[in-house]
Amino acid sequence: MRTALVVGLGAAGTFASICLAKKGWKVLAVGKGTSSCAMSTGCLNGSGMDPECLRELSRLFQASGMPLVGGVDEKRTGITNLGTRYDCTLSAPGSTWVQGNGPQSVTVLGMGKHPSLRPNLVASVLRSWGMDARPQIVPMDIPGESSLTAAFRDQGRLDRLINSIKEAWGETVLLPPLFSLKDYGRLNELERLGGRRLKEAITPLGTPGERFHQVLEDGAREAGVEIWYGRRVTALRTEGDLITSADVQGGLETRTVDLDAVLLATGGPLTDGLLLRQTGLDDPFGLFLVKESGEGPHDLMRSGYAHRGGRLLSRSGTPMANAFAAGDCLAFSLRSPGKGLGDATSSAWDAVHTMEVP
Amino acid sequence: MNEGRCIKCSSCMRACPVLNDPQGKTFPGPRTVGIDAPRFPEALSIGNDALMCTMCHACEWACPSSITITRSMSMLRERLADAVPSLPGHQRMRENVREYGRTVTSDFTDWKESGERTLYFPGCIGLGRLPELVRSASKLLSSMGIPHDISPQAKCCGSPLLKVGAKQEASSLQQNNLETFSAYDNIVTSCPGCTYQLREVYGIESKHLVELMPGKKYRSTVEGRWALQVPCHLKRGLDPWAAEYMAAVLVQAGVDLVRLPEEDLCCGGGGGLLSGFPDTSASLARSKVRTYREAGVRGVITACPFCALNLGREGLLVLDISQVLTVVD
Repeated sequence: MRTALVVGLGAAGTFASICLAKKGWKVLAVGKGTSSCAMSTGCLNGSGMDPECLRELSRLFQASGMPLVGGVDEKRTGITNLGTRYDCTLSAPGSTWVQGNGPQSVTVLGMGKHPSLRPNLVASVLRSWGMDARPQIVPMDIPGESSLTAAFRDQGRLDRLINSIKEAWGETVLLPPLFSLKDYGRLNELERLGGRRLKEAITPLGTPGERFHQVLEDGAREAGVEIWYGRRVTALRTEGDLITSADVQGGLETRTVDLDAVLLATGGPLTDGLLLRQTGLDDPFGLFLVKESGEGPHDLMRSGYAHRGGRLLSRSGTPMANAFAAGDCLAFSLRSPGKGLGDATSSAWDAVHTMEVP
Repeated sequence: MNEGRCIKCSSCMRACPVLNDPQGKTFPGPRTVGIDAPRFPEALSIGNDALMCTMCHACEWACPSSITITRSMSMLRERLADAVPSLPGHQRMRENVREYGRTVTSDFTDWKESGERTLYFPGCIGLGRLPELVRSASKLLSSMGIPHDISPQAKCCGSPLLKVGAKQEASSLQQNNLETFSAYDNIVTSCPGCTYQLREVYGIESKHLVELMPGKKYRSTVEGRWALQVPCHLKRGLDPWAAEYMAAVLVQAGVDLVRLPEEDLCCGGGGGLLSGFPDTSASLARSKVRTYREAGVRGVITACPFCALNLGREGLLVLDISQVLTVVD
């Protein structure tokens, strides 16, 4: 069995790990810290995505109990937790609607004084773009720092929420994301019991991103990926244009693993991987060529690993035989807002298929 | 410290097992306690709610900026100890240490003082609450070819005292223990909290039993399907490979082991939560026990006396790794 090392546990790394494992690779996935995928809105722009890639993603979400709705080019719209409009092509069912098919009248529901969704602010922003919106507050005391997903495991609170939904004005109720992936089905239940269409406000840095990440992580476990969270790659060893092994460090112990391929999905060429070695700095991925984006000189935040046909290039510009990359660490010539998760998963799909070609 | 690296992403808060528990709603959360508060003079106004943390390091692992949140929290706890009256449970613990040298009383009598080169340091909870765990760990160590002493002179490691900000008392325990340790070449522990204290605070090389286990052959002594309860201080505090060690050893020994994503979640027993906020601690344990029951396992295997105690109290069958294995010659 061939072994692939995937570096990075965000959308690109985890999705690539799943696809590789399903193709028969033994996959070690290494990473640390919360990924930006888990901080995202959990919505995707799928334009340009291979339909097969979308099918694979859809299968994962279907199995998780939170299916993806939309398509590669379907225009969907939602409302952010600030009341602004949000466009994408794929999302969880409770987040968006097909463009043009949106609600005419909305009640914006705040959970007590919890800052997750501020009804007055959001309703006034919605009115400013022509939607008939009214604010309403569910009377309950939830401390601002505490998690809504934990608070709404309480049946008493859910009952109060259902009553508020019943009393709400208009056809649709906008509320903050309340349920973890495991409890996502409760949104349908609330809709049924409350008698209103419910939409979650599109919220970054919260539950939706966590759910998205959880779907991928569960998928990876299911596919047999070995996940080494909280650890990092400190060295790659090469023979000519071939990566042969890597050092993975955690705590006091460093393990050396033999590899048939490596896939970088580190989110950027500036990683947590810089090491002090003797008197200098050492970047374990410093053997790969980094290219600027072309959008500004020396813009390291926007630059990425250069590649040819999906293969990473060495510092001298020649392609490496078994080093690949996916997601935001690749050099993109264009990156539009909201393309993050779509690009990450698409490029992971592409990388995995490049890896199949000897 | 390094709190200035905070990007306000709230990942620490979403990862916090206390904030995610219905009984944890008065905890201000890791960002307030570990990142914001330590930088402001009003920090102490949080009061004892700042102690509602199990020191499980989940926030630290979640932090994309690698901020050492737990360390900042410890420093805040030290300042708080002088400013606010301590909680009844914490007071009791400190009185026990003053009187007996340990956080809980113990009637353990199986001391071993035969001048071996290794000292097995079981820790207060093992000696006081789970003597059978100490005996099985000692037996396993012997059969692994590690002859050892268990010394009544070794007292509390001081970790629980640091968790309630009692730095002076912790240092005097450390001095006493270091004198006892000077007669030995190696220190072996079975409590991840002690291991963390000895390595990170004393700065000496000590190994948790689990870290010594790979490389030998074992046989399971238990029937049925089991899950892991991976100790926080061991895995996230010290050794990210801890779960792999435990799983590899158990599977090789023939234990029918199920790996659950929740195996890493804190049981609620650490950081002084169990003594200071017993209701919150029990609530965390209950929700873990529910997860394990839903998974249909007979019980869980751990390597931490706090996990064993706290989950055991909620009616789950919890065994230490030393209680389920024998060495094969």
